[in-house]
Amino acid sequence: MNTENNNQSNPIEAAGFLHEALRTAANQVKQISDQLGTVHSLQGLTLAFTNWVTVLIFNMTQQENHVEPSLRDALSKATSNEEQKNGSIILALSRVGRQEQMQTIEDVFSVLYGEIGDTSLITRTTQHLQRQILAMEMAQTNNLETQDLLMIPILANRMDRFDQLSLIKNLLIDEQSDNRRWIVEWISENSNPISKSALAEIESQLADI
Amino acid sequence: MIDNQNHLDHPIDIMYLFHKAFMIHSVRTENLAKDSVEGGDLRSFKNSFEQWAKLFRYHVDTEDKYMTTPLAESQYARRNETEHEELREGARNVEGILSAGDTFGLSRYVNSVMQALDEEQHEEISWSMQEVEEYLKQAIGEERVTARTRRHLYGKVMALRMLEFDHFENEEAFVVTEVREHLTVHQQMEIARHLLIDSESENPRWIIDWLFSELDAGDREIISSLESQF
Repeated sequence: MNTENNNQSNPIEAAGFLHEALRTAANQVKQISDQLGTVHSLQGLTLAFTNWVTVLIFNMTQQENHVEPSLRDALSKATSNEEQKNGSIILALSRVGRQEQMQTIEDVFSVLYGEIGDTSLITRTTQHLQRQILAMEMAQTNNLETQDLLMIPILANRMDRFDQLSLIKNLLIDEQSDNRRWIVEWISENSNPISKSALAEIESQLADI
Repeated sequence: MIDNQNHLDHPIDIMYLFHKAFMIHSVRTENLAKDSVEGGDLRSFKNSFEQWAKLFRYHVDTEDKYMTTPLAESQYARRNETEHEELREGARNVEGILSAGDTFGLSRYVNSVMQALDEEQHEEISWSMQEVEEYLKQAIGEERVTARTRRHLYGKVMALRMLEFDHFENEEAFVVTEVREHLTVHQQMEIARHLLIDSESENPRWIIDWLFSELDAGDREIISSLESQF
């Protein structure tokens, strides 16, 4: 997906900025967890992990509440039986991916706050944590791939510009938070200058939605 | 334990050298699985894993037969045998992925996708598993499907390696201690002999050959010294 060039015509492709930032965050957490053998404090890891998982869970919730219903709606207008069948497979895969992702998050929490708790870090628990973080990152890679390759192209083709802006707003703006822009701010912190600028351009168009 | 003069206090302490060699081999195998995710050749991983699986199966089967069976009253011995079964299962899982081929990363989702489709209750549409798999394979693309499989494989190999390390730690802390306390030196020598020498093989020293390839000169000297006492 070429988010930098196409978000003018297909605003939904700006979801790619969020996905890229999530991948960056996952890599940072993995790197920190790989260094746990030499660093005997979980503070850095907990901070980076909390940052990542907060956005990831928000994204999964919006995926379930907004992206999938939008896709379902777009597919209801599909004319061929084959298109409807394929669309249903994509929706089912998205749901399975979310469930798998949620399970891996719970597994990390279980090691982080159950197995380790207040006790000091030992090699065994460090390795369990590294394994679960890797599983979480892999589930994210698969799930984001499903969104990027299968869902967003359909939404980009079948939704008009206004509806796409409306949908992307749900992914980038948290209406329930005191700071509605916290996701945009988070993506900016985890993005390169070109993506940052393109994101700002998209955000400026959300004001009217 | 093993002292500074490269001497085993008890014959069963040979276990420490086995564990050391297995750990070296397993970390190398895991790194090869990781390399395959980044586009490396899977054959190197397969060769290393198959060698590990053959060695490990011989090792745990021998331990079950000669080391823990005599510890009839020991809960630790039974727990050790259960851990061996978990490790065998882990190895079978990895072998299952390897034999299923590059599409496994997708195939493993198909059942769950079928179930999710059933739950959506599309009465007017039906799907076959093959149809779902074929569509996803084409939509995601062969290269990415292979990448999913490699990631899944690496995750399983890493999990197996950690299970193995945890097991070694438990075995050293609980079972080796009991063997030292409850079995005679002669019995311990018999266990060590069975672990080191495969009398049913055309090359009975194949395990020692492998240990020699993984361990340093001091460790090799300890093994040679023990072997000379058989």
